[in-house]
Amino acid sequence: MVKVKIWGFILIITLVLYIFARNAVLKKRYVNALSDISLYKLRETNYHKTILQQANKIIGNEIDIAKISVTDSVGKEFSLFDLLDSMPTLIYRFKESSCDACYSDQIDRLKTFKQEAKDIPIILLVTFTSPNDIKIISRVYHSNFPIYSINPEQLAKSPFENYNEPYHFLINKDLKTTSLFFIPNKALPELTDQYLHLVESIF
Amino acid sequence: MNSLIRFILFLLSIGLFYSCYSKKKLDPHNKQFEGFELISKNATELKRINSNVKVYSIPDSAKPIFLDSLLGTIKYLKLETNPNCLIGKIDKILFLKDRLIIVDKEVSKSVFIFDTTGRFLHKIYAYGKGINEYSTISNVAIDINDKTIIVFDNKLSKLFYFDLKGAFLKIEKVGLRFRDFVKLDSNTFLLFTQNLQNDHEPSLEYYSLMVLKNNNEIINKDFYINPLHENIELFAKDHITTSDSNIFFFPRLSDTVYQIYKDGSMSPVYSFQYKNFIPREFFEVEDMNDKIFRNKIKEKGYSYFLGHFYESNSHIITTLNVERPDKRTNIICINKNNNAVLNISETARPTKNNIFSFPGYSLPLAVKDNNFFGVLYPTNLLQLGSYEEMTKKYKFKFTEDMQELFVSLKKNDNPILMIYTLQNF
Repeated sequence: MVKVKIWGFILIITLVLYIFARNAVLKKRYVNALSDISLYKLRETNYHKTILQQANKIIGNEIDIAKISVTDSVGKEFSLFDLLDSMPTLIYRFKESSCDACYSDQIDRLKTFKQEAKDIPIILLVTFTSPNDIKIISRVYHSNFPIYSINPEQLAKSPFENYNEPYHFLINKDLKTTSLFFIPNKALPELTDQYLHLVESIF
Repeated sequence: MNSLIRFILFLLSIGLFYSCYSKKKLDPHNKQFEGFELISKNATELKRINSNVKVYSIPDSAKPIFLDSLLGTIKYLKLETNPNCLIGKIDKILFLKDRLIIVDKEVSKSVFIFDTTGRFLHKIYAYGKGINEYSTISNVAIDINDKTIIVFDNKLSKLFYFDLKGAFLKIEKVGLRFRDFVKLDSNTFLLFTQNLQNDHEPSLEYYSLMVLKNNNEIINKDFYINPLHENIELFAKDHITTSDSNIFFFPRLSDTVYQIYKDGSMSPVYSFQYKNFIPREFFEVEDMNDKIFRNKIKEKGYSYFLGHFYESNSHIITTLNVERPDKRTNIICINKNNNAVLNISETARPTKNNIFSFPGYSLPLAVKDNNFFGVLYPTNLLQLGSYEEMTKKYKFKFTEDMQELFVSLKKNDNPILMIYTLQNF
């Protein structure tokens, strides 16, 4: 009788432990499924946008880069053409009216990318009210990227200049062309990674 | 044996209870609130105090007028420029003791502390990913009693406290997202949530104004936003404004300004009548987003207020948005002494190029001691040319004060504070 009691006790304890463990596993699966669904939904809503962005990579050659002038943090004027290397240069373009969380996220990503792809020239092309803003941006983001200010009218032919969203593109000095336009989405960082891999593969 | 069965049944019931019990599940975007218990079950509406609402009728025709002809006294305060205090954009001006607190949320992500002569004293800059660092400056408030500056980071839902020398003091976690906030007394905050999602606390969702006590209890919630209109993104930067010790709340698309008191009560204080103001039935249309809203008001020629309310002892300045092809924003100036109201349109220019007879005017960002505080940016001022060019070409009338300012002005200088009163009209 005592043995039956002990075995019964052990059986019950095992059963209870099993219920606890199963519940924990199911709970974890449920939470993961929730985040998967959220990400899926996000991807779904951004799907068309992404396709459109990819389609846009073939346009934008109407920008006459030879005529673009930019200024540095002390207001000194340069021809953008003279600042470019012979190899393509990745340009990250943002404005004062752009969402600051978006461009700060991209600058961080570009900093990480630059550590791996040291040879790829990157320039930040910005439009802010004061020339001081260039100095401030370098300091706030601890960025070593060259930053130049540009009058937005010079990029009027860029397909994305009318939007407030920051964007990337490539300039090829030899071919005098702009290409690979891309609007990053902070909620979909993997798209930026894919884009940067694509850029890297060109070099 | 009976006792064994009872014990087994007891254990089973615990197991079953546990398997049915589920903690509050948070979506990934609400992870910042994990483990934070916000008490909100007893939250009530703000207590209404009966008061005489002052009604102002806004005239329809925008008068062609030199805006600066309305200005009474004007002073300029040049904020010191040095490599340690480069200001990008001034989002907010606060006053604490004899200090000017200048907030640059987006560009330098810093708060600058100047004295009243414009001399730079200290800077708060703790942007980063470290333990005592903010990831963004969502807004800044001051605690007059403790003489502290409070930076709110919406992404982390944390309040960062600094002293008047810019030294870090402490961090406090709060369980809500909000856009703007004011310290009401030693342990309560007035929060303006705008259209930020607080779906982790369903009972608070869609309320745009709340009172938070001890950082973990919502005691009041008010100004419910119709969920069908949550996609209308029209909000001003400053729906909550303070004029000396008074706190005002001007809800979006409303014609009424409310005063909020330190004890969390409120009363409507001003109401504006305008013949083209959006009628109430307009909002009964279901499911409106920004695009539908804008198109409809353009089509009907409606106007609306969007916050931005500043009051001195004698005058009020606010703005009226007009969605018509020829006009955008009208500046409304009210003389409280004689109830005169001016509706100044941007297109009502007495001269071809300007509504001013000198190169700069700024809508107020703050009010103190009966003075409106605006901001002028050197780059914009110098767009018209140098001082000599401005006097010759545009025939601007410069006072001695302005002359001194413009002669030495450089593009790289920090913004200038324009401190002004309005005269009787």
